[in-house]
Amino acid sequence: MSKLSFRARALDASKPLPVFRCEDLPDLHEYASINRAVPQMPTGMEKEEESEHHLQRAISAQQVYGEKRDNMVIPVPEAESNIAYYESLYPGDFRMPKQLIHIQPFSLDTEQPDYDLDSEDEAFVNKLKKKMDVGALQFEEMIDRLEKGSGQQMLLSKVTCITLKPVSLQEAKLLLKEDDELIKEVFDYWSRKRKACQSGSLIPVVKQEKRDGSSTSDPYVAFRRRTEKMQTRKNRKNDEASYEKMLKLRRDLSRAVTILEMIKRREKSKRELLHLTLEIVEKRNSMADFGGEVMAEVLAQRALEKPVIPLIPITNSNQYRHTEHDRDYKIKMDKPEVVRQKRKYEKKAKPLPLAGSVHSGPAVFNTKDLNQYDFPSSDDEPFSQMFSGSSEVEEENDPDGVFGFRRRTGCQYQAVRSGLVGGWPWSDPAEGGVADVRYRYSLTMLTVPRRCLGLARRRVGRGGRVLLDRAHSEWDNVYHGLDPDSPAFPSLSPTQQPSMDTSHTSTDTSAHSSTSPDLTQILLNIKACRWRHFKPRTAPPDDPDNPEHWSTRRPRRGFLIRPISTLQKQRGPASYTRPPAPPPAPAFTTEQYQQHQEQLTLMQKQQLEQVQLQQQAGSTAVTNNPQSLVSKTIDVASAQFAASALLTSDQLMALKSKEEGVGVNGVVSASGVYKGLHHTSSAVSSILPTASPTFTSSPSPAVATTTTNNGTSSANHHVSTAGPAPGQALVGGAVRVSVPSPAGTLSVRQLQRQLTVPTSALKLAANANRPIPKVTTGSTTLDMGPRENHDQEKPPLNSLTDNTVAMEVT
Amino acid sequence: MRWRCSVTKMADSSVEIIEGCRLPVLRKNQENEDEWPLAEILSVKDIPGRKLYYVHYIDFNKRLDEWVTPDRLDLKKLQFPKKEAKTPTKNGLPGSRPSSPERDVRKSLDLNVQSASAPSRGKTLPTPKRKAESVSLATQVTAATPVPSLPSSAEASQASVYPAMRDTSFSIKSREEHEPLASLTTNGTARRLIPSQPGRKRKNCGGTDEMVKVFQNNNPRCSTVYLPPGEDSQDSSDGIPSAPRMTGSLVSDRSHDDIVTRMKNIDCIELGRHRLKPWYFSPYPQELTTLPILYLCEFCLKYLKSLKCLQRHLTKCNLRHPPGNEIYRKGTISFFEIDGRKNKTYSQNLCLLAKCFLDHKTLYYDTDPFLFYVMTEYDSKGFHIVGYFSKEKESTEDYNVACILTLPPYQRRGYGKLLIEFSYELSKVEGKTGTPEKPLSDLGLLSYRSYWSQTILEILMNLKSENGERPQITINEISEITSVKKEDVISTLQYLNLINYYKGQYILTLSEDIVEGHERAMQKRHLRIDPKCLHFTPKDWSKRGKW
Repeated sequence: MSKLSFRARALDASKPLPVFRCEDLPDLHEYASINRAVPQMPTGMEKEEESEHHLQRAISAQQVYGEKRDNMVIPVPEAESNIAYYESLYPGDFRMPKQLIHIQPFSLDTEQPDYDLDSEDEAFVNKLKKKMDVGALQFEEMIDRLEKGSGQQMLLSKVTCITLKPVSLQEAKLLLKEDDELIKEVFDYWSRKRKACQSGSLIPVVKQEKRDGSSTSDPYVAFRRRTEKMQTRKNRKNDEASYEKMLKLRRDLSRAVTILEMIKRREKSKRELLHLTLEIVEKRNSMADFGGEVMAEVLAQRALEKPVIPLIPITNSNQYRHTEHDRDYKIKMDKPEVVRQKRKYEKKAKPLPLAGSVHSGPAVFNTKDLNQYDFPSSDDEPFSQMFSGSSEVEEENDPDGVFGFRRRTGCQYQAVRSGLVGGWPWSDPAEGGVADVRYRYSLTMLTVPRRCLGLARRRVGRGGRVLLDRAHSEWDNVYHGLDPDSPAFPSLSPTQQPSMDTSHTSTDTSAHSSTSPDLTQILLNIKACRWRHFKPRTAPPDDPDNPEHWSTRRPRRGFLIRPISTLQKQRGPASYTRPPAPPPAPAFTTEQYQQHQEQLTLMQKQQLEQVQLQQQAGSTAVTNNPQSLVSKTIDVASAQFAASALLTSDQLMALKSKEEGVGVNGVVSASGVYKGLHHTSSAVSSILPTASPTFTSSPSPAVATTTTNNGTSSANHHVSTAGPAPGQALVGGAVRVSVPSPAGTLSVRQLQRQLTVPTSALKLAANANRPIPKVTTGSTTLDMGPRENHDQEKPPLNSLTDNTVAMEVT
Repeated sequence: MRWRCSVTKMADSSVEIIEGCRLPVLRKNQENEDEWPLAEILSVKDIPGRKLYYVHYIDFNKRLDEWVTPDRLDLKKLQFPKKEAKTPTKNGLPGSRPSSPERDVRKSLDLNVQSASAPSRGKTLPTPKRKAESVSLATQVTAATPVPSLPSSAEASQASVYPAMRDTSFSIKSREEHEPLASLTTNGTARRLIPSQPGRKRKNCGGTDEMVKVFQNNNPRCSTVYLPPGEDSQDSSDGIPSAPRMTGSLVSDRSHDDIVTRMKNIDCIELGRHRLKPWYFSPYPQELTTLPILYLCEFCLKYLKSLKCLQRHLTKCNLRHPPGNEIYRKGTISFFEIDGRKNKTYSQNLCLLAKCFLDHKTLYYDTDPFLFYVMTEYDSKGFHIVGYFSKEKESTEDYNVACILTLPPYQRRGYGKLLIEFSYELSKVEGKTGTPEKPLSDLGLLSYRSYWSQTILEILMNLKSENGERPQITINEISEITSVKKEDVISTLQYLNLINYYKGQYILTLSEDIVEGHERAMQKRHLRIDPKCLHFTPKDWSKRGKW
């Protein structure tokens, strides 16, 4: 058979094999000589069995004859099928069901005893029958219990128990619920029989594995549990998972029960309502109130007196649904109830971390929550669709994102106040508000769709959400068209901005100190600062130890600075127009400068007009008016001031930045500078009599005032003073910030700096001080154009003054 | 491997025939003619008045092993077990693999352990006189020396007739395989070189199993720590009684079977109207093994010690069909699906019964990962079990059948093929190809080959030539159509000798003999599965927690 002249190669299973009949290939045998063998496949049998005589005989017989011969089959031990008593043993009345047989789960668990009576038992039972009433089944049951009771004993007495400990008579009495005499008889019989039987159990069972592992090779032990050392961990995990699932299941089921109860209640109420309506209709019918006059009368009457009856659940629920639909954008309130409830559960988990504040107790089951489910059944509910539509729209917008309102259990939600709402810091004094300057309309930019919104004011809505009220102005298209990325928009890159400023100043210092200040540069700065705008941002959690936090905080300062001209906005109606912003000019020429000045004067005029208009119109804002007036008129002067201020502050900054440059870690030390600056600046503004708010306050409404010397200006407080409070310290009268943690040395250094700075700064203060009195005498705010510069320049200046004061004091 | 020579010496000198002896034994063949095949004495028992010998006919399947009276023994040709000059290597393994020095050291250690434990073993070893009835488990276990031995030298003269399967994966014992061929007739010397445990078949250890064993052998703890002396019958060198693999239903590694499992323990099983003579050992409760007849309830397969008990049981058992869902019915033939986890009692009872007829089936582990498909035939008494196959819920090796059995009374009537066909129909529904778990038994091999042959020939002969060209088909296509695994298709084509190399390519040729034989066979094959009657939706067991 071995005619292989070629290496055996595996057959390519994907290659088509033509099928021939042998008679079609008369020349096949010629090719047989160069036959290529295909590797033999294993038969899959055990090797040594493969060689067994009868198998081989059968195989060869089959190959020879093409089929098995009867005498060539593999012989097997005989089996007979002529049990005489078979017919009587098994009942022959079974009809085949028409359908395929389907076993119901648990239907196989019959309560029949496993023990089967043998002839010996039968004799015993028959004997016993003469004395007392006992049946075969009853006897089997008793033996069964005794046996299984013993089995338990064995389990209890742990692994070592090889000889099964049979139950005692006492235990037997507990196990069996027969009369004592019968128990005694059966127990004695059972004990005797059990003793005689070597196997231990009267119910033959397949030997089970012993837990000590000694039964590994016992051939009579079968059906061992598939537990392997490897698997324990997995199993435990499974157990855990299934335990959790069970818990979840229990929770879900209990919820289902609650829901069902509530549905029951709802339906009862509905039935009641129906009956009442029916009653009303009947009454009206009997009264012949077909036109509804009586009804209307009664209703009117009812409306007058406080309704005695509590609001009917339905109206009640409607109300809540309103709020739900209005507020809860996340939830899509359509479809059947079940879905809604499911959503509700999902939702609950979510807001938890966010709303960590007031929980009015864990177990308070709010009636409102109940009412939420108290919808009339969905089929007769016209509202659901109505509202689902709107909620879908709102969901798409999803304006609040994570800050979206979510109903919380344990909270009481009041209905909207119908009366005059006022007293908000942002509302006009005419409306009873404070007209806080922090909430003026200002140029606002969004971070996420990166664009300028135009004029907007910020206010705090319910739950501390920050709302932006937008104001229309003629320049809206211009605002909207503002390119955030243009160089004239430096504040746009917040992280960059402060560093840019410092680099500016530091690089400039060299030039400035030697030569006269480059006006263009300054003006560019001014211009840049005029673009300051507000940019709402989500407040990062206040974490003083988090360096990231510092870095994110820093830029925020930049956003909060509002353009000078919006000062009036707070009082003025939304229609206040602002002069167009000068076109962004990367390179400033003198021509441009002149143009700009012209523009500025033009602007001034406009503003003046505006102010006068407002003075006529707005009566209350007396105090602030001069301010704003001055601030407008001051514009050119302010530019000059800023220029001079820049000089001094640049130098100061240079000094500082040098010092800070060697700081322990860049971010922290740098922010330390800024913090210090701002701190002092705010302090300055507090010193100034007419403490006009120089900053819009940080988005987080809860700014803790840590600086005690700030007195009046707590509102002005900058974030940086508030947040990282722990690390801050007040040195003398001057507000100084020592950097939080790494800080022993650092703060020392700062202290040193404070000591050194003043001396050098005192000289500088010669020019610097000049503008300040000017400003103060003008009894205006320092609210001039180059706000940013102001913020950054002034502080050192003021810190100087502060320091001088401090030095005087000490 | 231990030799029983020490036992021989200790045994009563008057008893000449002991375990391990070989001699021709009279048996009737199928033509009812007398034969004197060589047999090996596996056990001896005394019943009043005479002795009985349990013999295994060399190169006959174990199922033909039987108790014989002394008059059937040809004492003139008695061969005593030979003492090994050279202590045989454990499991015969090192023969097939190069032994490293390390291993040799280990080996010698093993030998030391063995020789050390030998004397005590000799004492506890039951003498041939022991009565089977009185043999407690402990002594039996001790007697059991499950030393995997080298293959009994193949006296099989037909060993050369069939193509040798010398595939590398089977090469572990190829040395032994070849040698017997050479030394067939030189009984004594050959056997001395290739010692053989009495009646013991060398087990085909898969490569990995072998590795495990070698590792254990090399583990110094094994023999000392884990083996209380005299307690365990495992070879002392086998070390930790290692549990067999957890997947599958068949054992290919037989390191755990011993003399107990090599002998039938049940004389007779009564199942419904049938009395079955078990073929192999089955771990029914030991107290039931001494009964002349073990009674099974025909429907729930509960084992009962007496007819009285069966009668009592039948008053309580109201099952008239296997306790599962009927997923197929055509005519009187039905298939029931039983989940080995949900219906443990029935599954275990079925396995115990099946073990009586399946040599390699293992009942080591529980039935949880298996589904049981029980084929029944209906009559007015109920749905009578004809056969069954089990199937792993999730098979990593493409097995679509774990164990498969037609009960002896129904054998050779086409039911086996029906079972096989059904198993492939399930695979077709699942959209998988499948193969039966290995090793196959002799009958299993024949049945499967027959089914594969008929299935493939059916396809080949029905191939229509398209546009006048020669019809052609790929192995993969056959495999997809039939759900028969590719390897099985190829082996069948080889077995039928259909593959030929002709003019530069492989072709399939259908000879007249094949065609005629096939047509004849198909005429006889009237029992077929009708896929339309199958109501089966495969479940994705991987998504369920634990089966």
